[in-house]
Amino acid sequence: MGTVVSFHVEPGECPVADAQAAVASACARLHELDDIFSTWKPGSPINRFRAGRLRLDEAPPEMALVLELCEQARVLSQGWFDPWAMPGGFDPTGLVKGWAVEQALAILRLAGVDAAIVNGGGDIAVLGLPKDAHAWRIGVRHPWRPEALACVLETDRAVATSGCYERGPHLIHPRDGRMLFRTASATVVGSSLPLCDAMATALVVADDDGPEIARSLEGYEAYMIGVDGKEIATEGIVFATAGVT
Amino acid sequence: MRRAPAVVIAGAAGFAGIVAMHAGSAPSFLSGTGPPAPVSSSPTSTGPSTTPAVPPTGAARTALGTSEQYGYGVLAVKVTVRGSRITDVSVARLQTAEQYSQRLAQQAIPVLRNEVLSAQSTHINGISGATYTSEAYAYSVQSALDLLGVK
Amino acid sequence: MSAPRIESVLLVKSLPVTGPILEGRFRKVRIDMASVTFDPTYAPHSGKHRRQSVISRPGTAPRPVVADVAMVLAGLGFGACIALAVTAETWKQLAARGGVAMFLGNLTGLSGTYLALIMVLLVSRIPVVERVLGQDKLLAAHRRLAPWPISLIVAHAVLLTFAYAEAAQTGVWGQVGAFISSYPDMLTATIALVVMVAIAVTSVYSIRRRLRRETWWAVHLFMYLALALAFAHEIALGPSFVGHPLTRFVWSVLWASSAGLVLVYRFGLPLFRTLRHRLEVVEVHPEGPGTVSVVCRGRHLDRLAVAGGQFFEWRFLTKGMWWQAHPFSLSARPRPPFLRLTVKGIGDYSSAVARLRPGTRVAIEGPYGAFTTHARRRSRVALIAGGIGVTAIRSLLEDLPRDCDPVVILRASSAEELALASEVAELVRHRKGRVHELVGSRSEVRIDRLSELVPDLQNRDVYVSGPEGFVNRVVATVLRLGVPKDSVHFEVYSL
Repeated sequence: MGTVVSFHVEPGECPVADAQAAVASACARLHELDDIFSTWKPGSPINRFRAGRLRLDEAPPEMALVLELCEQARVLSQGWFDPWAMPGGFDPTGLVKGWAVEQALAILRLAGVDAAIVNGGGDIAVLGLPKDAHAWRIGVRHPWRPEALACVLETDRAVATSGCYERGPHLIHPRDGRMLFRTASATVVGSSLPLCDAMATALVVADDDGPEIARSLEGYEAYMIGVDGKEIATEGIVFATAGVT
Repeated sequence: MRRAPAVVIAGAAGFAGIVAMHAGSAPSFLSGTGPPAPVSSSPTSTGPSTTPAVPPTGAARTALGTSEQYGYGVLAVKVTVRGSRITDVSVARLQTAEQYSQRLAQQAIPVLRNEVLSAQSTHINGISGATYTSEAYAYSVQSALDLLGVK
Repeated sequence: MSAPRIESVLLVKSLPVTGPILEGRFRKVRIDMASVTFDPTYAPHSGKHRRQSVISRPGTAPRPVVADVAMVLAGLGFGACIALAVTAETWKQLAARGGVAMFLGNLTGLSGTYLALIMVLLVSRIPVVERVLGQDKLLAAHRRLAPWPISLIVAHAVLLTFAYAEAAQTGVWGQVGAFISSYPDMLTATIALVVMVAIAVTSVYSIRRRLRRETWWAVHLFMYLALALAFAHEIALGPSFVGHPLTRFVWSVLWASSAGLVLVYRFGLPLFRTLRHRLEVVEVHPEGPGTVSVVCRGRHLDRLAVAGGQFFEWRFLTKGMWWQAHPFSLSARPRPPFLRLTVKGIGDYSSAVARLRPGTRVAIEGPYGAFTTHARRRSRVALIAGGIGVTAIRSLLEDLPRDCDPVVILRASSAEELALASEVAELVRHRKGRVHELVGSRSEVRIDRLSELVPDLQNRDVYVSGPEGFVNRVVATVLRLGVPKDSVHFEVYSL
C-alpha cells in the first residue's frame, strides 16, 4: 500500500529471538495483506473485486472481514466514512491500513512480548505500556509544517490521523463530490485501529458535523485541527505536558 | 508557407524557454535521473525495521531522499538509520499545490495550543499523521536507503 | 467633344430602370456615380447631394511585419505549450499505471486548446493583421487548421479517461461518470466537448453541403460557448496550472485577451460602423444580364477608410435577408455620401438583392481584404478579372496612380456579361494603360495567351479576381510564367 511500517518492541520476559521472529512473521503477514488489498498491484484481489471480476465467496476470507468492518464503520460514522462512494469504486484503503497494522500487532501479542508499538504510516497500534511511563506519547503531525508536531497525546490505545494536507484534495465528499474541507487534520484515539482510521477520515470529510460525530461515538476520542488553526478535542483526549518543548 | 522556418524556430525557442525556466525549480523528467531500473510500478510496504529495547549499535546516519514530484507538488523524505535499521523516516520537504495549504504556509501560522513542537527534541514513541500513500514517498525513501547503502 | 464626364454618360448604354419612382432621381445619381469613374476629384454642381466632392479616406497602409510577428508569436506559444506538458512530467509518473496515457492526454489537451485559441484569433478580424493577410486567406487558414485542434482535444478526452481508469483500476464508463460527478468543472468541460464535436461534424463537407449557410453558421457560433465552458477545467485540473500561478495567469490573460479581441473587432467594430454610417439602399440598377449595382447612401462616409479592392460583409435589413451576411466588393471608391457594390445574380440571395427596395437599411462589417494597391511591390500592374471579379479590379483601378500603365484583362463568357467594362476602360485610358476583353467560352479562349497579351508580365504585379476555378488557373499560369510569388495577389469569389 505504499507505506512504511515501523515496529518498536519491548520484549520484556519474552526471549529476544522470539520477539525478532515475531516481528519477522508480522512483516510477512503485512506483505500478504498488501498482496490482497493493494490497489497499486494489477490483478490484486481487491482490484478484481472492484472491477466485478471476483466474487466475495471466491475472494480470500480477509476480504469479507474488511467489508464487514467497512460496513460497521460506515454506520458508526453516520455515513461520512463511505468506501463505496470513492470515485474508482469500492476502496477500503482508509480502513485496511489500520486493520493490517492491528493484525501485525496481534502476532506480536501472541508471541508474548511485554509491550510494542506498530506504526504503519501514521496508524499506530499499541500493546501494553512503555517502560517507566504510564502511557505512550504519540506526536500528532503538524498539518502544514512537515517537520513539526502539533501536539503530543498520551494514550494507551490505538491512534489514527487523517488529513488533506498531503497531496491536495484526495478526499471525496460522499454526498456531492466536493474536494475541499475545512478540517486540516483529525486524530482519533480508540481501541480498534481500523475504526479509528475510518473515523478520522470521516471527521475530515464531515466538516462542520465533525465534532458532533466525534462526540457520538462512545469510547473514542478525537482531536481536530481546522485550516484556520483552531483546535477541537473531545474530553477524553489527554495532552502531554511534561517533557514537551 | 514562406514564414514556416521562422515559425518552427520560434516553436523551438518557446520550448527551450519553458524548459530553462522549469529547470530552475523542481527536477523533472528532463533534468532528473533517467528512467529507473526495472522497478515494479506498485510500491509495497517497504521493509519494516525493528528497534529492540537495547539501543542499536553504530552511529545514526541520515540521508535525504530525492525530491520526487508527485503531480501536485514535491516531496522529499529524510531517512535515519543506525547500522542497517531504519530508525526514523520523516518528510523533509513538502511543497503542495493545494492552494490553501500553500497560502497557510506563507502567512503567519496560527499558534496552536501547545506551540509548535520540534519532533527531534520531544521524546515521543511515535508520530501519527495522515499518510503519504503516493509512490513519490516510497521512491524517495528508497533513494535515501540506496544512498545509505541499506538493503 | 464635350467634357469627358458627359461623354461617359452617353457611352453607358441606357438600360431599363428598375422602378418608376426612381426616374426623377435616376439621371442625377447616374451622373454622379458615372462621372467619378475616371476623375477622382470631380465635384458636381448638384445642389441636392451634399458635399459630394469630398473623397473618402484611403485605406491605411498595411504593415507586413505585423503578420510575421504574429506568426512567430504563434509558433513560440506552441513550443511553450509542448514544453509545459513535458516539464510537468516525471519518469516515475510515466512508469506508473496509466502514466503514458496520462502524459499524452495532458500533451494533447494543452496543444489542442492552444490551437483552438489560434483558430479564434484567425477569425477575430484584427485590423492590423487582416489588412496584411486578407480575410479570405485568414478564413482559408482557419479551415485548413481546423482538423488539428478538434482531433487533439478529442484524443485528450479519450486518453485521459483511459489513463485515469487504468490508474484507479476501474472501467472506462465508470471513469467517465467519476469525472463528471466528482471532479471540479468536468461537467461543463464534457458539455463543451460534445458541442465541439457536433460543430466539427456539421463542418464536414458532405454534411455542411446539406445545411443552409445560415444554419451552419449559427451552429458554428456555439464554438465560442464551448471554449468558454472548457476554460474552467483547464485551470482547475491541468498539472501545468495547478500550483503554478504564473502559468495560470498567462493562460488566463491569453484567453481573456482573445475574447476581448473577438468582442471588439468581430462584433463591436462592425456594429459601431453600421450605426455610425447608417447606410441605406438608394438605388438598384442593372449592369448587365443578371448583374446589378446597388448604390447606398450613408453618413460620415468621408471618415470610412477604404482601399480600392476591399470588400464588406453586407447584411440588408429586410425581410428574408436580414439574417444573412454576404461578402461583396465595392465596385468603386466611395463617393460620400454614396457607395456602390455590384452583385452577380447567382442563387436566391443575389436575385433578392436585385429586388431590394430603396430605403432598406444596411448593416456592414468591414472593410476587409488585402487585395489593394498597398500589396503592390512594383510600379506596373496587370489586373485580370473573371466574371464578377471585375468589381474589385474596378475599384482597385481608382487607387492606381496616373501613368502607371496598367494592363487589364477582362474575361467573360459573353459580351453582355462584361459588366462595368466601360468604366474600366475609361479608368485605364486615363492611366495610359490598355484593356483586353476576352469573351467566349472556355474552349475558345485560352488563358495562356497571357504571355502574348502582357509580354512584360514578369515585371508586373499581377492581381487576379474571379471565381475559384478561374483564379486557380490564372495564378498557376502566372507563376509558371515567372512572376514571383510575392507579386501575385488574388481574391476568390465564392458563393
